[in-house]
This record gives sequence, C-alpha cells and structure tokens, in this order.
Amino acid sequence: MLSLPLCSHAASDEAAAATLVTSLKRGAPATTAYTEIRFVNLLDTPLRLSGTLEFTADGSLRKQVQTPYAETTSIAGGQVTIERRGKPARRFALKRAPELAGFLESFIAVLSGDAPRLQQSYTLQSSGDARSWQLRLTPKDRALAKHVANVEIDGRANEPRCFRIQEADGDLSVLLVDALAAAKLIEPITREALVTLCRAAP
Amino acid sequence: MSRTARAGALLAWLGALALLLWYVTANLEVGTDLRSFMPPPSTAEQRLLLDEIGEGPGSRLLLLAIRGDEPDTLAGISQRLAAALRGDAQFLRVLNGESDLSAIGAELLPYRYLLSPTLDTQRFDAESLRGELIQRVEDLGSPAAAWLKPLLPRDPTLETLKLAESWAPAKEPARYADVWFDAKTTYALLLIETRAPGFDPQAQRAALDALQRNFTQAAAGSPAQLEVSGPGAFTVSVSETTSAEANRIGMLDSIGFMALLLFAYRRVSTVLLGALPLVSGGLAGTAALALLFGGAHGITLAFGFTLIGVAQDYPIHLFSHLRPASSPVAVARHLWPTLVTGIASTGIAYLAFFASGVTGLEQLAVFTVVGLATAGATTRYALAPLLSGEQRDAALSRPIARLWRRLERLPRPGWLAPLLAVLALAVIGFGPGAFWENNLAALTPVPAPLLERDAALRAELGAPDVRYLLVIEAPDPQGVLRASEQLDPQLAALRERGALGGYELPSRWLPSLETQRARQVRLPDDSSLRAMLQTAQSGLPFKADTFAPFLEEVAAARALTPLTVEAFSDGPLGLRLKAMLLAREGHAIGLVGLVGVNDTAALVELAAHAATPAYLLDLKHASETLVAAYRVRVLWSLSVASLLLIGVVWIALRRRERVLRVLVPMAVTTLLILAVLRGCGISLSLFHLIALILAAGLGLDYALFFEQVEEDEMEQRRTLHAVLVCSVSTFLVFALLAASSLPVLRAIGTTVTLGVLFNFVLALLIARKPSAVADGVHRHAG
Repeated sequence: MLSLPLCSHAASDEAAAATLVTSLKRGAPATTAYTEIRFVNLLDTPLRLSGTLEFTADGSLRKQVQTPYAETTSIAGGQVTIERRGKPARRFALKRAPELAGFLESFIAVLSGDAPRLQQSYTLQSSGDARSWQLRLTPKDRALAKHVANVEIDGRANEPRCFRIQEADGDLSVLLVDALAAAKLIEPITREALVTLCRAAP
Repeated sequence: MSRTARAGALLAWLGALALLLWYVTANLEVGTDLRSFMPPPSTAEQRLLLDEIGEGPGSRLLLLAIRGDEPDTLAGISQRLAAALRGDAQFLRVLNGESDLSAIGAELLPYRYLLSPTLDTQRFDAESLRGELIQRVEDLGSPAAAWLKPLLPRDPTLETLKLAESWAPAKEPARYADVWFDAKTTYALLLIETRAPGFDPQAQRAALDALQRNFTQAAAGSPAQLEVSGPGAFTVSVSETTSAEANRIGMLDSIGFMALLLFAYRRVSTVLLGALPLVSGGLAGTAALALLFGGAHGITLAFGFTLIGVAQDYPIHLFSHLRPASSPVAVARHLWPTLVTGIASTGIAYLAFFASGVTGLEQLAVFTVVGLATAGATTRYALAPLLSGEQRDAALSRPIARLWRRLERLPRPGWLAPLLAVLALAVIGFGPGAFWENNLAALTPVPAPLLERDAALRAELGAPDVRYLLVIEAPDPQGVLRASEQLDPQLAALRERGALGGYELPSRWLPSLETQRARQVRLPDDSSLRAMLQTAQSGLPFKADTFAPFLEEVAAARALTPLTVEAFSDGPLGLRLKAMLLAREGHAIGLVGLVGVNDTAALVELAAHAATPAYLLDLKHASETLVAAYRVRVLWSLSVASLLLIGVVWIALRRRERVLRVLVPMAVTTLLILAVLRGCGISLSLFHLIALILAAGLGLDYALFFEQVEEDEMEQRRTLHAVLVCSVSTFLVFALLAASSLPVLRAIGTTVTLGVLFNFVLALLIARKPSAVADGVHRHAG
C-alpha cells in the first residue's frame, strides 16, 4: 500500500496535495457514468446503484440512478430534490444531509481543480505518484466531522476514479467513476475488495 | 384678597390638582380594546366579532421578510430567529419552513397513527408495508438517507413526516436551504402568529419589540434587515404616526394659543392661570372615570379631551370682562348665569350619551359632564378670586372699539337663517359620495406602499385571508372537530376547483375521538404485525431485527387513550389548536382559516348549503354593520341630547325669540358644516359626529354671550373681545388639525374649524338683539 510516512511535514504535504488537485481541473459541464456501492448499518448487504453524474458550470450536480431503479437527484442552490417516477418530489436542504454536502463539496472542488476551496473545508493529504495517486480529505469543520469521517479519492494521472466517503456512523459510500464505473464487481462485495479495486495498478 | 392669601389659594388649588393627578395615575387603566366602544352585538356575526374572536385569527398574523445579505446567511438568521421566537410566549406559532420533526414533540410521536390520516384510506397489511419498505431501501440509497436513517427503525412508514407535512401551511412558499424564501431567493420569509389581537397597539408594540430584539441577536454581524407586515404591524404604525402627528400639532397649538392669549391679555400670569380650569376639568373628569369605571378607553380620553376643549372659553370670558371698576369676583358673579346656562345645557345634553348602552359613550358622558362642570366652577370660585384687581379693560382697546362699531352697522336679516338652512339641506341631500363612512380603517389608513408589500408577502407566504373565515359552532369541542372533519372533503373540492388556495381546519391538528378510535382499530395486533413485517421484509436487505422499535410503538399505540382536546392543548402544539378551537361556557367554536380566496360566491354557496356544518364570516361586513349600529346609537343619543338642550335653554331664557336667537345660529351652523363636508364629497364618520357636538357647544356659548349683552356699550365691547378671543383661539387650534395629513385628525379639525367660523358669523348676524342696533350706529356715526 502506498502512503506517505507519518513524519513528513504537513505543510509540504498539503502543498503537494494542492498541486495534485489543481492538476485535476477539467472543463464543465462534464458527464460521467458511475457505480455506487453503499454499505449501510441497517442492511445486511450493500446497495449497488449505477447511472450518470452531471456536473455543470454553475456548480450544480445531477445524479441519475438508472439501475436497479430510476431516480434523479438534483442539487442546486443549497436545495436537494429527489424525484422518483410516480412519487411527489422530495425536497430538503443540503444542510440536512451533511454527508452529501461533504461529498458534493469535495467532488465539485476536485473536478474544478479548485484546491483553495477544498482546503477551506478539509485538511488535504496526498500519497502515491502521478500515475497512481491517493488524496485523503479530513473535515476541518466540527459539524461536518460529526457526519463525515473522511473522503478518500483515488486516481490516475489527472483523472479521479474512485471516491470513498467514510461516514462517522460507520456507513461507507464508494463511488466508482469514469473507467471504473464499468468495472466487474465480484459478489459478495466487501469494503476491502473495493479499496483494492480503487488502488489497483493499471 | 391679599397677595399672600392669593398665593395660598393658588398653592391649595395646585395641591388639589396634584392629588387628583396622583389618584388618576394610580387608579386609571387605559383600555385599548375597541370592543368597549361598540354597542352590544345584535347578530351572530357581530357577536363572534365582539365576544369570541376579536378581529379574527388572520389579524394576529405577522409576515416577516429578512433581506439584505447572501441567501445562506439569511437562511441562518431565519433559523436562529425562529428558534428564539418559539421560546417566547407572545407568539403562538412561528413558521419559517423548517419541517422540524422535533416540532411534533416527543409526547405526540406515539399518537402518530391516530393523528395522521393515512389509515383512513390505506390498509395496514403486508403488501402496503412491503411497498413502504422497498421505498425505504431506495431512500437509503439516496441522499435523503442521511436524515431518514435515524427515523427508520421506529417509523418505517415515515408517518412522522406525513404528519409534519399535513401540519404545514396550506400553501407553502418556495424554499432555500430548508427555509422559506420568495420565488427569486432574495429574502427569507417567516409567518408568525401573535397571542395579542391585531388591533391592540400596546400588545402588538411589545410583540414587535421582542421580534426586533431577537432579530438583532440572530442577525449579529450581518447587514440583513427585518421587514414586518400584517394587521398588527399596521396598528402599531398607524397609532404611532397618529399620536406623533397629534403631539406635533398639539405642541404648535399650545404655542399659538399661548401667544394669542398673551397678545389679548398682555400678562403671563393671566395666561398661565387661565389654563388651570381646563386642567382641573380634565383631571376631575378622568378621576370620575377611574372612580366609576375603574378605567377608561383610550378613545374616550381622546374624544373627551377634544370635547372639553370648550371649557378653555370660560376663563377667556372672565378675562375679557374684567374691568378696573369691579372686582374679578364680581365680574365672575355677573357672568355666571350665562356661563351656567351654557354648561348646564351642554352637560344635560351629554346625559343622553349616558343612556346609550355603550360603555365607551357612557364614559364619554361622565368625563365631559364632570370636566365641564369642574372647569366652570373653578373659573367662578377658584380662578376669579386669584386675579388681582388691576386688570386691563378690554373695552378700552381701540381696535375692539372700531370693530364693534363696524359690526354694529351689520344688518341682522331675518331671512338669512331660513335661506341658509334650505340651501344647506339641498347640498346635504344631493352631495356626491356615500353619506356615511362605515369603514373605520379608512380614517386611519395604512399607507398604500405598505399595503402593496403586505399583499406581496401574503401571496408569497400563502397566509390566511383576513376578511373571510368559516365558523363552526357546536355544543362541545368534539362536535367542532367532527364538523371540521366533515368540512374537509367539501373544502378540498373547492380547492380542486380553484375557488380557494387552501384552508386550515382544527381537525387537521387534532382529529375527533371517533376518528382516532377508528384509526386505532385499524392498527394490527402484535402477532399479525410481526407476521406482516416478516412477509414484507423477505427478499429485502434489511437486517432481521431492524424494526423492533416499530413493533413496540404500534403495540403501544393500540393501547393508547385517544387524545382529548385538553390533553392536546397542554402539548407543544396546543396553542395552535386553541387559536382555532375556542371552548366556551356551554358551546365551542371552530375557526377555519381560508387561504387565497378566489371565488367568494363559491364559499357563500357552500356555507348556505344545509349540509355544511359551518357558516361564512365576513369580518369586513361584520365590523361595518357594527359601526353602523354604533352610529345609530350615537344619532339617537344626539337627538335626545338636542331636545334636552333646547329644554334647558328654554327654561333659562324663557322667551321664544330669545331661545330662537340662541339656538338658530347653532342649528344653522350644524347644517352648514354638514353641507360643506357633503359638498366636498366627504363621507361622515363618528369622528365628524363628535366634532359636530363640540362645534355645537361652542356655538351655544357664543350665541348666549352675544344674546345676553347689556345696554352698556363698554360691556358689549368686552363681550365682543371675549367671543373674538374664544373663536380665534379655537379656530387656530383646529385649523392646524384640519391641515393634518391623517384623515382622523383632519375630520375633527375641519368640522370644528368650520363650526367656529359659521357659529361666530351667525351669532353676530342672528343672536344679537336687533333693537340696540339703530341707536348705536347713529350715535357713533354722528
């Protein structure tokens, strides 16, 4: 496993991580296929969803679940709207879903290569090399830390491939994007297997 | 009287006034409730308005907008402000859009299946449960998982959310960051219900202060501004503008009045002493109210002080008649019969108001009678002895002498009064516009921009209508709740048709006992529910014992005693229910708020239907009929008062031509005032009527003094001086009021100003004895 030695200077580490984030900038709007695996305490087996993620220039995000059911989540202006066919739309404030807010903030900042924005909310740590790297985000804000333990992002070159949101209550959400979205997953899916997949060499 | 004796008497008088003032401040409670100024209700509509609900629940709503910062900051302020206000007992309900589950309260959670309408239409079975559970799996895969997760084990059907949604306002505004915003996300919106009625300026002022204080705290460090609208805010703004303007005008009036008296009598001590009878009258009148009624209505005091303004003329008559040859006491004794005729006739006339049956008018009668009598008596017995003998003689003034001669030459045509009366009656009969102004609010109007803002905020917030209301009456609260449940589908149909935007029923908060029991019966027993849950859960990824808390709570719900009105009222949402469900001795009343009324006719039709357990209350109509009923009482009192007045003047003057000379100017003046007002298209209000009474009282005094002149030319000049000072000072005071921007002050000002003018001129032309004329003119012309 690749990781920087613990004794390394936080400042230089932070700077390296920031440089990495800056290199990830890609133009908006962007659309990517994704597969999400959610490990929820209430459930025996993880949930597996796939669909597309759309990220627009004004910072709003559209998450469309295609399998196993259809559902569209739009996040814009601090408001989350979840629509399912035949059901009234459910709306709530982004603030009420801090896990989502945390993920969204990291996701958008990473896709726009906006290191300062990311540094506002998270302490950054990076490891690996340019071909295969890991970025670990730890919430600075205590309110966010109550819900999100950390966000780990794995990628290659200037392409993030895997977002892992570790929630404070033990639930885990793994988002595989781009090339990894179509990766074959062997049942039963385990957390460990996903980490291996995310960090696997090309 | 010696100088020291006079000083002693003055001190004693001032001491007595101080005592009165102390008594009044200690014992007088000034009421602001309009109801004590209204006649007893005669229709069901009026009774509701007066006895039960004040001006309706719509009048207790305040609409708030917070603007001037980033939407995220505004949302934060809205949340902090709402949280602070929810802890304040002055506010029954604070809504800002947060569907806060804690608002339901832990006490009510076990009752959720009894309170929520779900079980009325849905069966509790394995199939429906499975449908819910499938959705919960999807929820866990969605971003909503974050806040639904903690709820699921005890409430997999999300009944709590359904309940919270059913308690949300009928028509909700847009949201941003969980709180209400306008459609363009420029300002955050809140809807607040005060405990105080909308028409109570003092209580509303306190509520607004609390609001502002909490806002300042919630918005610390932000440039955000709070805007408050709604009937209560208008009441405060109107009453404060009115009193500010009245005070400003009062200040100017006092300065002008003092200057005029100084000019007329050239002595500071005279002017200062001259104020004492009026002050004594006012204090004595107020003390009488404290003694007899224990308090007074604010309007009584305002009207009362206007009416006893006529007492300021009493010392003026005394001052103008002073002369070196006789002592002030002798002068006062000489004037006394004329003064007493004026005071007694006005006072006895006011007794008519005492029999009106309206508390406010009775208070007004007591206040004015006591006030005028005291002012008259103190002028005669306290003021006169205080004056020193060395006074200026008004009769020696050259301008007065010249004016007297010119006036003496004026004709006194007998045809004038009938002609003017006929002309006036014609104008009164054919004047444009409505004769009466029934809308009291038109006299204290809310500025148009404020009303526009209010309409905009009301539309954004979907706040209930302030005019229409459905009212349910039943023998007991449960009857109201049953009727309310019966109304629900009928109103839902109207909403479907677009006749109204929404409605708020008491049964939406607390269903009747029957409904709760019916829902309870539909809850499955523990073993059936376990079986259902097992079937429902099969094939779904939920862990086996996830829903154990749910099983426990449903079992507990089956054994609950349904919530009574009393039990619910003690709970966190109790105040809300109490505002809609009024339990009274022997009966109960339910109020159904209507939102966005588009089709009044449809509501009238619904209410008229025999099967509808409610009737439509038009608050505007009810208050207008009340005003009209009130006016009828005032007019009756006035007619009786006029008869009493004629009787007293007749007894005092005895001869028919003398009585006519005194009463005709006053009567014609009243007609002329009415003609001018009607000719200008002004609709008459209660304030005009009160001002007419004052004008008549002034006219009576002028006419009495002009009629009562002696053969002595010097004495005639003194009378002229007195009436001139009286009328110029009154004219000055009320002309300033007439120039006010506020209709209520303008109504009083215009009426009295016209009254002074007409009364003075007509008293000159009609009240004086014709016999004195020719001689006088020839003597001085030659």
